[in-house]
Amino acid sequence: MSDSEAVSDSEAVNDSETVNDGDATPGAAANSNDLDGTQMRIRRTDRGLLAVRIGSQDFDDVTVRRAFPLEAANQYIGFYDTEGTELGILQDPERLDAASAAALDEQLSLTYFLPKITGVTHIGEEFGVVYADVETTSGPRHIEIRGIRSSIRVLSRNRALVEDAEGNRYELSDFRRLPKITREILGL
Amino acid sequence: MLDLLEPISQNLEPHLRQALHPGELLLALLSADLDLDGKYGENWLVLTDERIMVLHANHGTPRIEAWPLADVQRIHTRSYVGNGSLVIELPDGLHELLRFSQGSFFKFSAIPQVVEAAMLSPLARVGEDEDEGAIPHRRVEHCDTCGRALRVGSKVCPACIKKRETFWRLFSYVKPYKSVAIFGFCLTLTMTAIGMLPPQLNKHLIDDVIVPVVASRGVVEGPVVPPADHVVMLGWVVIGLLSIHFSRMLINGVRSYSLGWLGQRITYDLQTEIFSYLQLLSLSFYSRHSTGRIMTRVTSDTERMRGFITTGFQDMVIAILTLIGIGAMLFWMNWELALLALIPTPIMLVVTLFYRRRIHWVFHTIWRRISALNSQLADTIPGVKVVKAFAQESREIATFDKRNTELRESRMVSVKMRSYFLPAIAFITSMGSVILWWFGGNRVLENTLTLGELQAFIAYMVMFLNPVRELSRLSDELESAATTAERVFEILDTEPEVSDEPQARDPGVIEGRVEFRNVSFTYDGFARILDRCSFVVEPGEMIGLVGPSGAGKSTLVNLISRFFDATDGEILIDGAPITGLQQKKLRAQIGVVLQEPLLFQGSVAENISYGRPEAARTEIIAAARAANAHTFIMKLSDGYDSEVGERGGRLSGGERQRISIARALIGNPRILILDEATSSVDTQTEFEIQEALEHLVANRTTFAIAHRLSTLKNADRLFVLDKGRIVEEGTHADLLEIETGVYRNLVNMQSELAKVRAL
Repeated sequence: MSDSEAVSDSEAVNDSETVNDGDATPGAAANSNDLDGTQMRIRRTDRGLLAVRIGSQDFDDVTVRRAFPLEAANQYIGFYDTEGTELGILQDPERLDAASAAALDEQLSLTYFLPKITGVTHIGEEFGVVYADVETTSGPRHIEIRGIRSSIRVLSRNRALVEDAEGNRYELSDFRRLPKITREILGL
Repeated sequence: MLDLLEPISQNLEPHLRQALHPGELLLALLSADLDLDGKYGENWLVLTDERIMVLHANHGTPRIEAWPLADVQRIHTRSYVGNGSLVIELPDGLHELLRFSQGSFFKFSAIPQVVEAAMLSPLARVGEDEDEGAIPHRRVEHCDTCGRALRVGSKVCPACIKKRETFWRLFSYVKPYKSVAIFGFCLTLTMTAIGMLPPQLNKHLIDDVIVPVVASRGVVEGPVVPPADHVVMLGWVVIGLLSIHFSRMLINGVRSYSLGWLGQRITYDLQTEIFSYLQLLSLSFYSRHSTGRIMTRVTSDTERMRGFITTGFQDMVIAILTLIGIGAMLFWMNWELALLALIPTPIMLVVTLFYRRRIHWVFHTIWRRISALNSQLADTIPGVKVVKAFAQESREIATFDKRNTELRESRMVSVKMRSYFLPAIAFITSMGSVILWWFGGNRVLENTLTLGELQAFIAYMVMFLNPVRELSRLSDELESAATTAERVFEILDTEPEVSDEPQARDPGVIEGRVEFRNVSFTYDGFARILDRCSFVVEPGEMIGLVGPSGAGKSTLVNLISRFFDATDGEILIDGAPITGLQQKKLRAQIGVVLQEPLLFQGSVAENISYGRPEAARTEIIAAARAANAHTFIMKLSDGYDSEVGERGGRLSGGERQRISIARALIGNPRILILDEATSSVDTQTEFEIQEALEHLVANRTTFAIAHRLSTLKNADRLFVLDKGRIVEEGTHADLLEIETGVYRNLVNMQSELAKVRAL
């Protein structure tokens, strides 16, 4: 995402996957659960699983979760083993080698399905329900939004999260570019 | 602090002086309004550093009784119903010194403490139990100027408020935009002036254009060709009328825009000012005012003030100017007819005034009945489970029906009044024109008045009666705007009870040493919630506060956060008086976890970083980990970006509590306050929270309140509070050794309870 900051590789390279053991005090930047990207290798297996090597340890079926999927989607990625135990949080995936970064990216995009609305072709409102035909990054879609107050959540950088009547979610990036009427109907 | 030296009357003063020994120091002088037999009378308590005396003032020559303080074994107040007494115990037994009515109870409740201080040795306080039956009583506050009792929760006396000052202050909000206000006002004046022109033009049209032609033509049947010059004149008059209406449209548009703009600015300024000020006010303000009432001040009251400043006031000026202008016009045109035309005006004035006064009370009744209905709804809808459980549906329906019937009846009164009043006003207005048609018509026939003049006259008269009616409505609006403004200004004039002294200093990074020196506290000036508490807590110590409900545990921690100031005594942080430290800087270093964790609408991350919005995401995660919250947060589909819902409603109680712990930790506080942090969660969650808390308290001064005593097993020391006093102090083991100790008793009760639960 645009807010991710590039950190030079020369900074804070650790030779083990655990850092500053035992210090759980808030305010301390480094944490035992922080993962060091330079010590990780990530690949997708033939069966679509994510295999991760952290330092010298191998994990063959790893689940990834974003800590901030809406506000910092490409940072702070949590890695979990098959038991659901957290292996740690990778703050900055840019430290990964290119192949690992691509594998992680692919896995994340499969895990998190949040189409972006790129355009609104038609919009109308009747009895408190908004009907809209939208273009999304995953194709055209007809959506119905019940109660704009509870279904539309404004995020930072003029983005909004739209939830339709069936519970599907869409990201609306830069809603300021929408026509005035559309924005009024959506209450944005 | 209480003033214990009340002014005494001039005739009693010599007696008092005479009674005092040379060098004897007067500590308290309080009047009691009852005699010992319960009749009203005047008696004075005189307390010095040597003796306690009573000055009986009401039967003949004033008489003084005195007892040396050295003989006093104990002293206490006794509370009866509606009155109380001060009792001392001397070697020969108990003596009732004075009686006083309920209103004086507060001041006398301070006397035992003063006596104790005067003797410099604590007295036995066994008599305290006798105050048990004290009636909770809110002290009525009185206006300093006129002595009237003030409304509950208000320190402003409506009778003493100067309306003119209120209005000046109200209009001070217009000041920043005075050019717009003057512009809008000028447009209003222009519009009013232009509005007076059409009848004059109509007069021309009739007298100079239509009537001469019709008259000269005589009786002719069929269409005729009108004289060209008159057609031209007709054209001019019509163009004149058209331009008047057109310019009115333009002026009205610009005027309503500029006044609307002005109104919105004023509402914005007022609302922002009130809300910002509300954030400054102490918690005691919020305990005096209901949330609903405060919200009304910010929303609808400011709206009403805007309405008055922008339209109400202007309408009033317009009405007055129109009255004067049209009145002058009527008299200028024909003074005799003007007098006749004005005959209905006083009748209309009287009828309108009568109607307004009456309808005011009718509306008052309607509002009261609506609120009675609402209060039943507010009770029974959330309490529907209780209603159903006790099968009381029909009773609730009957109550609702009764109240609804009353509401309908009072609304019908207003319907009836309107249906009398409005047609009556229309009739009176038409009476004016009827009178004019008769007398004016005669004049026209006699040729002493033109038809155009008569028509213009009638048009002006209708225009004249409108502001007469308007003015009575506007006077009500003026009244209500004044009251509204007073209520709003009352908030803005409330001094925050806890405020930074001008020389308050930044405490820097505190170590966390907390000392209480003889601290007492009362919320309402009546019951002492904390009574002379003294202790020292060293940095990093964990203190468990235990005791029955209402013992003063929460009050004690509230004083450390300085939500309130101690009524008496001194609180020191790192050796410096708390009142000399900047509140914000101090509170930033105190982490608070409450029993009911209140989260704000927003994401988990926003809630954790509430106290430090600039906190980095890494710090948010670290605080959540420390609070045992990270694992469950990462399981939420939006992780730290998950919306918590209104008041955190989308999370469970335990989850909310762990987020609130993370919120308390993000500022790395030096002092941690845990007020029943685990009492509203189940055992498993309590265990998880407990685990989180264990590594939090390390190196932080911690005050933990808990009902479940097991929660406090790691405390360095326990303070046992009872009726506002620290009655026991020590480690868990120390306190268990006290045979008849309060703590031991509490532990026994809980273990008995645990056994019962285990069965």
